[in-house]
This record gives sequence, structure tokens and C-alpha cells, in this order.
Amino acid sequence: MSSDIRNRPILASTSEASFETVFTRYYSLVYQLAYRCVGQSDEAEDIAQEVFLRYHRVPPKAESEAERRSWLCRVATNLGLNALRSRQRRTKREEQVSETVRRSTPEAEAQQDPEQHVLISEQAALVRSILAEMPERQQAYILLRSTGLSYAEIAQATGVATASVGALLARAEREFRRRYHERVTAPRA
Amino acid sequence: MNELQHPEHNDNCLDQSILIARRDNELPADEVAQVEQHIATCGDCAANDRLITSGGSEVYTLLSALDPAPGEVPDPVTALTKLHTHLRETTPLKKSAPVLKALPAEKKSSFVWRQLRRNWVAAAAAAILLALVILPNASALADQFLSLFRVQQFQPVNIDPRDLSSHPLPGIQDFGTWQATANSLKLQDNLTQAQAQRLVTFPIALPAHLPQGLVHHPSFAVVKGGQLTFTFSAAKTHAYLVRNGHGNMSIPANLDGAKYSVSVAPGVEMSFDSRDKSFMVIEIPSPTIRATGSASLNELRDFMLSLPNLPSQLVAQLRQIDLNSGTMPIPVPPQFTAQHVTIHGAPGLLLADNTPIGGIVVWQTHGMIYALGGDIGNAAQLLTTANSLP
Repeated sequence: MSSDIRNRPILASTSEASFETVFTRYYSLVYQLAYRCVGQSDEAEDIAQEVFLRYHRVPPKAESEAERRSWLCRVATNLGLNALRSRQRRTKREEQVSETVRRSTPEAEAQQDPEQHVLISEQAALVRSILAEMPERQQAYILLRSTGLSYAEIAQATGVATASVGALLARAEREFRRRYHERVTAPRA
Repeated sequence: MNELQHPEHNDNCLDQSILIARRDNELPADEVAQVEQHIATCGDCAANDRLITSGGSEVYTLLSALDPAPGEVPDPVTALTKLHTHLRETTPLKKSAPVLKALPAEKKSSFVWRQLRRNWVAAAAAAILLALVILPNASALADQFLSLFRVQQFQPVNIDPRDLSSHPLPGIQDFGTWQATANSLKLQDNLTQAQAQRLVTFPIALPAHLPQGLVHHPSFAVVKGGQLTFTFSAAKTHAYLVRNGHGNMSIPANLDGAKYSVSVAPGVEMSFDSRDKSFMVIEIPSPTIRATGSASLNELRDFMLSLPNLPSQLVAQLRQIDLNSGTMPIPVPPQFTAQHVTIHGAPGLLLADNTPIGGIVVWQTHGMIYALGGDIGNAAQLLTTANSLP
């Protein structure tokens, strides 16, 4: 291969900051973003590691700290939300299978523990599932804002104009609240 | 109108994007006054503004429920070691270099300094507690069921990464669970000095002198205070021992459920970063640790010290520290030198790179902990800056 990764030192420096400096400065932020999406420490660690592996393989052409931070947050958010959505799809499939089984064995339904939904109603699971159901761009806007990114950084990470971020955030927040209130006020099955 | 519906808009009303930008301190300063003047005279916009503020607060409070517990964020240095190992295993290299050896001299100090930049209070709380439970000489503390420890001074403890790469120190989360009061240790950043001052209980002190090349108007962030309680769990500890091949090790029954609480008051973080240099000043009231529960600290410590693979040199150094005097151990990597210094008459510690470029000064006085440093300035400049704090 022409740009053989094996010939690159593990600790290759970018023009403005060494890999270690970037790693130690932003690891916690990247981990927290990933954790917000997946809620499991092992998976969040894997995602954070993957983010920095990508950074190491092909460092972004970042001319400022803000650009570097935006790049890391964008990759962490994309990977985290992909993992969350994929889990959500898996869970739905499993629920559909369970539903089929329940229908075919009504006695199982009769024996179902009425408290089994208590876990689902835990705040983190509820919030995470609402997040997973939102339009992809809106997920990213509120997730990035919740970690303290400025409008300019959010714009950089999502490829929109900085001037549009306020309106997009307002829409995303409203959508999140609408779905949340729908869920908490919906009668339980 | 229900609370999710927005007030009617008329032609004179402000766009939501303006109101939300004002809420997030993203509006240019010259527009803020105009917007506030309009809100004061327009009922619709005032209602809309309240809705945007309360709605945003609700959304971000809900999202904060997704955060990991403060003690559960992996240590960046350990994570870097893992990544380093992964790269070595997956990338055949002609020659590999130790992590810090490969850094240019001017970056070595920042390597350690950067570790403080995120979650430093949570990391410090966990480190204090871990040090406390593996320290063997705090007999006065350990014999009591109710004990109080307050950080009053610092003692360097040399850490050799080679010892830790093969046998990393266990994390406190391996032995129990952290519980934190709501919003504990949350970082609120992009604040003005006045906003930061309102959130802390002590007068924020700015250095009169800074190393050259830094901005003189810092950005302010406040780490909210809170209380973190660690509860020892025999089940988690057993799982940790099983994972590490010591599943037959017995755990004293009365340790299960022992509690230790770390109380932290809000602290301020000032960043004087320039384009390519980083410099930070931290001011925070000394945290306290209170131990309660069904087992004494002695029993807990005896058990912790019996864990396999603790580096013997590290344990020997920790044995020298007398916790009764409120001494907090500070880990020092080999490429740094540690020196006891005096700042305004108070004992402190200077960690400097061997070259020497940059470093960190930390000291405690009148119930406050101060730390400053970054990847700029030499030791003399750091001490000058430290002594220039009022």
C-alpha cells in the first residue's frame, strides 16, 4: 500500500498537537458522548477507542482546537448513534419475536410479570430510546449541544451554517420534548 | 395553550433562533441588549423566551441522565495504554517507543497537564478515596467507624508506568458503586467571571502575572459541587477477582455495604489558552471524605493491601504518608521532578518536566486548593504566577 500505516510511528504527531495530547485532552469527552448513546461502559470504551484509532490512521486537517474537537465529537456521535439505532432495531426485532411467541402461547402472557416494564421506565432507558427514535440530524444537534459544543462547533461537526444552528436546535429540542411528554403521559399497555 | 405549544408569532416578534441563541450565550454582545429590550416590552416574546429556557433546561437535564457515574469514566492514561497496546498488537512496527519518550520535550509537561483538563474533580475524588483505602498508616482514622479526612497538603508519589502497564491499578469502581447527588461535578463552561463568581462560595482570584504568549482574558468554567458516596460491594469485588484469576480470594463479610462519602464544593477553572498553548488555573475548596459503615477502614485497607499485583514500590511510598495530617498523595511520572515549594507561606508541590518546560504547581491554603500550569513557562515563571495570585 502506498501510505503504509505500518510505517507510521505509533506516536505520529500532527502539525499542531501530538496524538497523545489530543487523546488525553479529549478522551473523557469522547467517552462521555459514546456513553450517552449506548449506556454501557464496555461499548462506550470500544467506541472511544475506535474514534481515536480513526484519528490516528487519518488525522483530520484541523487548523484549530475547535475544529479538532468538532471532528472527534462528530465521529463519536456518529458511531454512538449508529450503535444505539442498531441496538434499537435489534430490540424491536426481539420484541416482535417475543410478541409472536406470546400470541401463540397465551398462557405465557397470563404469567407475565406485570412489573417487567419497570426497568424500561427507568429514566436513562426512556431518554435513550426517545433519542434513538428521533430524526438523525436532530439526535446529533441536541447530543452535541448537551456536551457543551458551541454553535460554531456544532455547525462544523454537522456541516450546516452556524447561523442555522439556533433554529435547528430549537426544532430538535421541541421534538424531543414532544416525544418525551407523549411517552410519559401515554397509558401503559 | 399547553406548555409544548409556542405562543403565536406576529411580524414584530423575534425569531426563535434569536431567543435560543441568547439563551445559549451565542448572540453577539451588541444584539443582546436590543433583544432584551424587545422581550421586556413584548408579551409574546417574553412567553416564548421563558418556554425556550425552561424547555431547554428540561431537555438537557433529561439528557444528563445518560451520563456515566463520575467515578466510571476511564482514566485517559489507562485508555491510552490500552490503545497503545492495541496498536502494537495490530501494527507490526520496526521499533516502538515508550509513550512519553516519543513526545517532543515541550509536549511532555502537557501530557500530564492535559490529564487534569476533564473530570479532574471526579478523578481526584476517586484517587483520594483509592489512596485512602490502600494507605496503611492512618490508624487514628481507621479505628473509627466515623472518620473525616480533609486535603491539607500534598506529597509526591513516584509512579513507574512500566509497573502499571503489566498490572494496572484497580479502579475504585471495581469494588463497589458510586452514587452522586444530582448534577454532582457537572462542568458549566463558557461563563463570564461574574457568572462564575455567582456559582462559587469564595472570591475568585486571578493571577496578576502570566507567562508570555497567553491570552489575558480567561474563559471561566465552574465545576458544580456535590457529594459522591462509594459503597463497597462484595459481589462486584468478587467479579473483579474472578476476572483477574483470583476468584478463590475471600472477602470479609462485613465489608459488604461499607460507605465512604466525598464532599466537594463548587470550584472554578480558568483557561488562558492561546492558539497553540494551554494554561489553566484551578481554585476549589478542599474536599472532605467521611467514612461510615459496617467495617472499619483498617479492615477495608487490610483487604485492599492483600490484593495481588499492587506495585510494591508504590505501596512502600504510600506507607510513608501520614493521612492524619491531611496529606494527599500526588502521582508523579518518571520524567517529572517533584519539588516542595512555598506559595504565600503555604506548602505546595511543583511538578516540572526535566527539560524543564512547563509543569504544574499545586498548594493548599485557608481551606482552598489552588493548581495552575500548562505547557508554557518554566518552573520559575510558574512560581511567579502562583505567587501573583492575591
